[in-house]
Amino acid sequence: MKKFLNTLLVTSLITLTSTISFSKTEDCFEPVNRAIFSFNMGLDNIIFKPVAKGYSYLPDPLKTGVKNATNNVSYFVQIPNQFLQGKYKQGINDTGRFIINTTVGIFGIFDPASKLGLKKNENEDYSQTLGAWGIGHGCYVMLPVLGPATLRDGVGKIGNAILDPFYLSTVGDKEMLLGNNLGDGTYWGETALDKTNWRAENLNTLDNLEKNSVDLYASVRSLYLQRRDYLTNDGNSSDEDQWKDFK
Amino acid sequence: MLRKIFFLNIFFFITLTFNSYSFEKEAEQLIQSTTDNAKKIILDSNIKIADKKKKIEAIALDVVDVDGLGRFTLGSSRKDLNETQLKEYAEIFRVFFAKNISSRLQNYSDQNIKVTGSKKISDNYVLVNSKMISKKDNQEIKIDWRVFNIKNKLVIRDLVVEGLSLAKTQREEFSSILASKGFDGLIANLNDFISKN
Repeated sequence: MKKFLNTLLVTSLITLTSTISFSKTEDCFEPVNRAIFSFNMGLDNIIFKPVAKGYSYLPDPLKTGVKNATNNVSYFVQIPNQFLQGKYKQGINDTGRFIINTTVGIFGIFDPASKLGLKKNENEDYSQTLGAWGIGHGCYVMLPVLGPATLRDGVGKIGNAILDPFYLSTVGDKEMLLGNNLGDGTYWGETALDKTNWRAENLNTLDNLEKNSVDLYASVRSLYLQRRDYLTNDGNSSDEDQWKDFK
Repeated sequence: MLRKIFFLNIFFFITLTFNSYSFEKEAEQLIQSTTDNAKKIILDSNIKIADKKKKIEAIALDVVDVDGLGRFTLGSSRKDLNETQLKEYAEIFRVFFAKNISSRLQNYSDQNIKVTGSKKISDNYVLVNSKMISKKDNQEIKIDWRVFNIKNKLVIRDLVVEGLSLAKTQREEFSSILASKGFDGLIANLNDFISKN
């Protein structure tokens, strides 16, 4: 039964993503999105930002260790997507990074792979793979707590979970990590540390954005979509054309 | 005769190549000198914050095509506005831009900007590539500058930080306000920003 449901879910996702349009990303639910954005901003002011501020006072080596370890866990999603997009060289490089940093680097806390010349690549996920396969964003949506996304990202996020051995061996009931299931707490703890670290690194940037925007919601939407396109297209942008014809 | 034509062709080729090369090099120099000057001002502890803001605003207004940027950020709505509205917008946008740029640069601290190359996009448009390198952790951020030759003066029209275009972001921001509040709403929002900064 479970296998049938999984097959049904994957089939539905493929059908759904194949219907996403290739045209410009529309903000189909803007009034609802704006309301959720206000809620998220309130949550950020009350919880996430103060926690991130406190976290930012921790010693730098500790923060670096947390960042390295959470980055290392993300390879469970990153490496398969590099191969799915045909980036074999990057996939082999990051497989090497993962093996070295997990063993010599003690579960990824240290990054000896960089010192050996294996440089870190840009993140890849299932949404970017769908984009690389030619599937458009679909509607822009603001998710409660999770923040901005598109329909394609939403599908990608599900893929990032159900195809992630770390998720399956923590929140799920699989034992894929050397025959162990690490329990729900490990997954949520790692996610909390990852998000807190990101928020702490961007305290000034987000304050600056908030201060200098005349419509913060529209700014966040624009920046999010530009960034996702940039990552999906591996740094190639189509923006230049808009300036070429500008008089 | 054929020999003359051959040499004439070579001469034109060299002249064209040199002019193109010169445009790109000048654009690169503009970015390097502008960022170096701005950095000197920001890091000079002898200059008061209010004076720093004024100096940065002056540099920005000199090297950025503010009128062009203003027109770009209006997007297709520009065609729906009359001359009086366009004039009013251009004046307010100029002040908004200066306040915005000086406010954004306040968080700048120990980064170095190094020009790494450039690419000619059209006869009057060069994309200058640079990297901002943090002294603290050696982290590199890619910044591209859109430099145009307008009436024989090199000016910046946009900068793109890791794929995020400031001009595009501002245009989408303004477009959202224009769609919901109209032209008067946009002017009110810009004036509100100016009064707070």
